Formats: sequence, structure tokens, C-alpha cells
Amino acid sequence: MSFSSFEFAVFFLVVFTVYVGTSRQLRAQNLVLLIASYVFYGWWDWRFLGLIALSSIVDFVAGQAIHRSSGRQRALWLLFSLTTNLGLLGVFKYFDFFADSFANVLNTIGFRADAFTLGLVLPVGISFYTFQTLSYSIDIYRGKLKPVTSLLDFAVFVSFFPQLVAGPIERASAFLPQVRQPRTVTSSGLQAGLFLIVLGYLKKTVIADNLATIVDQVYGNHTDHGVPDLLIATIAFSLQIYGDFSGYSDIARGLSKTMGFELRENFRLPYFATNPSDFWRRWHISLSSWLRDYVYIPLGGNRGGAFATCRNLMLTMLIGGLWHGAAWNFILWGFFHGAILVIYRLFQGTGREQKTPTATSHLILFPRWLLMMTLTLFGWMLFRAESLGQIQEFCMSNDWSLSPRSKKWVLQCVLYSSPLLFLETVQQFSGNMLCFLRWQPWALGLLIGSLLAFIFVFASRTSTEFIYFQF
Amino acid sequence: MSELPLPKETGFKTSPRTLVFTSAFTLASLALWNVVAVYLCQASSSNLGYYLLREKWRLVNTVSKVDTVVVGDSSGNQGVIAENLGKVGSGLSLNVCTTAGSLVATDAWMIRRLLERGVVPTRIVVVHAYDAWGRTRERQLVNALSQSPLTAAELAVSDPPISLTRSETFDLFTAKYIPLVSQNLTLQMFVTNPVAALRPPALTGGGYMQVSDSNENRVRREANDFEEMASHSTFQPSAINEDAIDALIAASDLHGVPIYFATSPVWQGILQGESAAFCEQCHHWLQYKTASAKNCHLLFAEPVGLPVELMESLDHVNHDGAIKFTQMITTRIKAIESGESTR
Repeated sequence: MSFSSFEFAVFFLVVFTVYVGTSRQLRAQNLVLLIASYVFYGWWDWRFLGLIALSSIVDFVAGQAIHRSSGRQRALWLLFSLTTNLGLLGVFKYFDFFADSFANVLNTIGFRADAFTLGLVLPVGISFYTFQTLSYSIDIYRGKLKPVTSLLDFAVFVSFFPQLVAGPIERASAFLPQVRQPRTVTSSGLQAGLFLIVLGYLKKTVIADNLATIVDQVYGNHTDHGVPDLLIATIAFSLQIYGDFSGYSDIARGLSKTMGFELRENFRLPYFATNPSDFWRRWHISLSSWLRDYVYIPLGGNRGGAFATCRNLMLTMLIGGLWHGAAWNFILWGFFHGAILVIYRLFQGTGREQKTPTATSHLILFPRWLLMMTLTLFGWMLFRAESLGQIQEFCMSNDWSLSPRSKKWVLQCVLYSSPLLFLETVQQFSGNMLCFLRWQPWALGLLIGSLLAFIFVFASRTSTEFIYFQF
Repeated sequence: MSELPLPKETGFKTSPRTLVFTSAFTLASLALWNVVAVYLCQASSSNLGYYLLREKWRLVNTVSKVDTVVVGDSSGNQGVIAENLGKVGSGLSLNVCTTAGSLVATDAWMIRRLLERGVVPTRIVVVHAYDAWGRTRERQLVNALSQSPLTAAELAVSDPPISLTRSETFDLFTAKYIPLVSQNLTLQMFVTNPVAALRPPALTGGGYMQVSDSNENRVRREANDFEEMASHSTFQPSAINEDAIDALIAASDLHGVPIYFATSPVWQGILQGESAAFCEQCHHWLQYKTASAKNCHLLFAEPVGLPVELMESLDHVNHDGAIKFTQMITTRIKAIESGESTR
């Protein structure tokens, strides 16, 4: 059940009504959320429900056991949680990729090997809820969190339907208290939530779904297109993936706000970033902070000198790339971002950074922004490419001819993204992502009404699945 | 400054009163945009079907005296030159052909409206493509109704009756009153290609739409599709269209107005094999319908085949084809009315 489907609209209205109706009984309300979340998840494939239930039970039991035990036993319980969660992820997401790659390596060095693959369907959102449950067990092991005593509460944390399949990746320390405390539907929550939902649908149905056609045409048939088309398609893809993923996050956060939940921010205008480090503070924040807290810092962070810091950064980004999917281009994308982070860190170490804003600082920032945008686009080309061979062909291409559709595609990119460019410029320079909510009711009403009108007219009527579901 | 400041998310306290006001202004803003959309869609010609429906209904509602009236689908719209039909009689002739699959909402209701207004034509000509007679109740009916001036009260007493399902009523409501949702492609044209959105097609004062070019590739492609369709099915008129034809015949009978039926000319290349059989079946049915009524005639006993240079598509002629087809119609009507030819 996708957020952009009619079924979801009906589903949410029903759930919201029952949710409000049970607002005086916390346990009943949580039960409503759990049932709704399992219906939502089972809508794709009811067989996936077993996995999420298993993951919930294992971490609920492991969390309590880690908290009760000490010493070696404590570590064993953590290992049990890690093995189960990463084992499920490994089998469903990575087994075929590694088996296939291993067979290819053997064949390359002269051994004859046929890859043994399982051909399993990837359960939607498994990467998101696995990371969520892992953080719960690890935080208890580190003594930062006390285990939850109610399986119902914990199951709601793992399966909360607005963010179940594509995040944001929530932390137990922030989310579980909200599950355990009574929540109220407030006018502030409703207003902010509805604004985010409208913004999310704008990003998804107008930007992502429309621009997907350009991207698919060029990347699906790259030999028919020259470098200019590739550039246009890559810009379109940068808008598509941002619109798709941050649109999902906005809708998820908006739905949650209407029900009285606060989910963590996942995007803060990433295309305003002026350096790699800045980009990762703005893009997929819930994943980058997860990787920082559970991979980068445990590896040693920046505590072991320049070389160790660079190594840790690179390893973290490689894992981040692999998290996105079992394919070499995702690993290459992670490696690329690791490399530019390392290079940036080495330059940053010279101490030439100017910390005080000056009159000329915006002029200085423009070339930096341009460079970062170029690097980001190159990264998206690696990410979207359908094979390593295609990346190689793109890099070697010397065909600078424009196709008859190039001009139209540029206009489409500008047209569909223009409202978002306006909104994000205001957000950036006001310093507040929700600055519009401070506007007078007539001005805010005019803005939301105009955005809705834009959605009605320009939304793609052939909606595609959210890209990040596959991760 | 090494980077732009990272924006934060700071919410604001909103009172229920403010939320209500914001919601009301949102709805008001949407309504305003919808009014703009209504205005733009009325001015637009990019949805040709809607444009034809509006223009032809305007002709029906404003004409005060008429000689020959041609009703039918798009093949008649670009196949019969109203001005040339004047050569049959003495007065003004009108081509009010619109789109296929909606005889109840267009042909039958247009003639009824003319007669209600006291504008009794000298003769009625009905022209449809071969596959149009058999089209069942489809979305086109709702589209045709949405651009017609017919009121809900008129629809309620329609003869033949037009009873819409709940979903069709909803579609009709959105198509008629909420173009922001229903006519998104037309509205998109105002942003992507405003010149094309406002450029009207070449429609003469009598309602004929001139198409200059022939298109051999399209003709041959559609011929293959038609052959494929004909090889799997036999001709079968739809109940809703048959009811509309009966209503037309009854109205012409009541007012003593002769009515002539014709199928649109087709590319002569399909008048063999399965396609020819399909066309023959259609003619047999039309012969049966026309033979059973007084003042009712079938203009052509055989399918009219034209060379590819005169065709824009398989069953739509270009301007040269329209001159020829109109000439054939006038000749046949003259022959029938002078008694030189039988039905």
C-alpha cells in the first residue's frame, strides 16, 4: 500500500478515526497502531509479516536479557540480536549478490563455478526496521537505554506504519517514550502535519514521478543518448530521488504529527550543501547519524589520527553504500562519497576555514556549492547506473549531440521543481523548515491551496513505487 | 563562512481557530484556482473533443434558421462541408458533428434542442464511422455531457433515457465543474505551450473542421488494427446508440423531416477481406433500420472507399476528401428527393 494510492487514503482515514476514538485508552490506541501497521505491511505480501514479528520478538527478548545479564553472557545476547537481524538482512538482501560475485571471481581466475542463488524477494523496508531494532539492542548493551517491558509497545516501535518501509530510521530512546505516554491530537500537530503531507505529495507526485520518465528513457537506453542528455537525466534523477525519498519522509512525518508523534528530521535542504560533510548533515540524516553512532564512532571515529579517521570514514561510507542495495554501483557510490569526505577532511585540516560571515561570504560559497553539486551529480550517476559497464561508457562518451527532446526535458525539470525551489529558498534563508506556519492564515491558506492546485494539474497520473522501498 | 547555516525545524503553536481559518483559506484558494481553470479551459482548444462539443452546441443554441443539419462523430466533423451542402437546398446548413460514442448525448439531444427551439431543419444527415455505431456506454458519454449545456433536469427527462451510475455522476461533476482535477492536460498546455493551447482549429461558420494533410502511415497502421479487430468480431450496434437512432428517426418522423444515414468514407484499401465483411454487416443493419421508417434513407448502399491521398486516417478524410464526400452526399440527396433514386 503506497502513500500515493487511493487505498492508503481510505486506510489512513479509518485508522485515524479509530485512533482518535481510543485516545483515552493508551493500550487500545497502541493496539490500533500495531494492527494498522501489520495490515499496512501485509498489504505488500503477508509473508513478510513473519519476518517483522520475528525481528520484534528477538530484540524484545534480547533487550531484556542484555539488561539482566552481565559479562560474557551480556555480549552473547547482543551477538544473538546482531546475528539474527543481520542474518535476515544478509539472507534476503545480500546472499545472492555475494554468491554471484564470488562465482564471478572464481571464474575470472580460472575455476569453473556456478553461483548458488536463493532468488528471494526482498521484503520492503527490511533495511530500515533492521537498523532500528539493532540500535535498540546496542543502546541497551551500552547502558544508554533501559529495555521496554511491553512487547506491544516494542512491536509498535518496530512496525509504526508511517515510517516502516522507508524511514526515517527512528531511535528507541526518542520513539519509545512517545509510545508509552498518552498522545494528543493538537491543532499545531495537525497544521504542521498537513503542511508536510502536502509538501511530500508535491515532491513525490509532481517531481519524482514526472521526472522518472526522463531518467528511465536515458538510463534505460543510454546508447541512443549523448553527454548532454546524460547530464539532463542525471539532474532529473537528482531531483527524482530527492523528491521521492524526502517526499516519503515528509508524508511519514506529517502523518505522525497528526497523530501526536514526532519523528526525527531526515532531510534539511541537501542541495544547499557546500561541502561533503555539510551534505551528509542534510541528506538522509537518520541513516548518516546511525552510521556515525553505530559504525564510525565504534571504529574509532577521529580519535586515532588522520589515517585512522580517513579509513573509518571510508569504511562507514562503504557500508552506507552497501546498505542501499546489493550491487557494485551502490558500493562505488559509497566509495565515492567516502573519498570526497576524506579529501574534504584533509583540506579542512589546514585551518583555512573562515568562521565569521562576511559580506563576500555568499560569493565565496557559490563556487563551493557548484563544486559540491557537480560531485553530488556524479555520485547520482554512479548510483543510478544499471551496470558498471554503463558507468564506464558514460565516462568515456564523447557524443555531445543534443536529442530532439533535450530542450523539453530541461523545461520539465525547471517546471516541476520550481515550486520546491521557491519553498526551499525561503526555508534556507529563514533558517526554519516550518517557517511557513508562522504566516498569517490567509497567506498560508493561499500557499497550501496553490500547492494543491499545482499538484492536481501537474501530478503524474501514473504513480511509481517509492524508490527507497527497495532499500 | 564555510557553509550555509543548517536550518532547524521549529514548530509554532496554532490555535484551533487559526487552524480553521487556514483550512478555510486553503479551500477558498483552491476554489479560486478552479475558477481560473474553468476560464482557461473554456478559452482552450487543446482538448479538441471538448472544443468541438462546446462550439457545436453553441451553433445549435444560436442558429435561428437551418436547412440541412449534419450530426455525427469526428469523421463527419471533418468529412462534410456544411457550406457546400447549401447547394442542396436554399438556406444555411450546419455541421454539428462532434465525437464518437455519444449519440444519446449529442446527435439525439442536439436535434431535440433544435426542434424545441422551433428551428425545424429541412433535412437531417447522420454520419458515423463504422466502429462508432457499436460503441457501448463508455467514458465518452460523460465527457460529451460535461461539455453540453444540458441541465440535470433535462437529463432526467431524456429520451432515450440517460441514467448515470453513481461513479459516472461523480465523473460528470468533476469533468463539468472541477477542471483543476479533470482537465489537467489542457491546463498543463497553458504552461508548456500556451500558443498551441489557445490556437483554435480551422472551423468554418457552418461547423466544418478543415484538415489539410493526408497521412498514409497512419491510414495503413489503422487499417491493420481495423483488420485485426474485424477478424475477431462481427458488427454489433450498441443498445444505447440504437436507442439514440430510434429517437432521431421518431423525431424526424414527428416533424416530417427526412433523415439520411451514412457511414464515413474509408480508405479503399480495406474494402476487402475481414474488414469488408465488417463494413457490409454495418450496411445491412443500417438498411434494416432505414427501411423500417418513413422519411428515412440510407445514403450509400455500399461502403464509400477513397484513395489514400484523400485520407487523414482510416476513416477521416482531409479537405480534398471532404469536398468529394460532400459532393457525393449532395448528389445522393438530390437524387432521392427528386425521386430519381429509391432508398
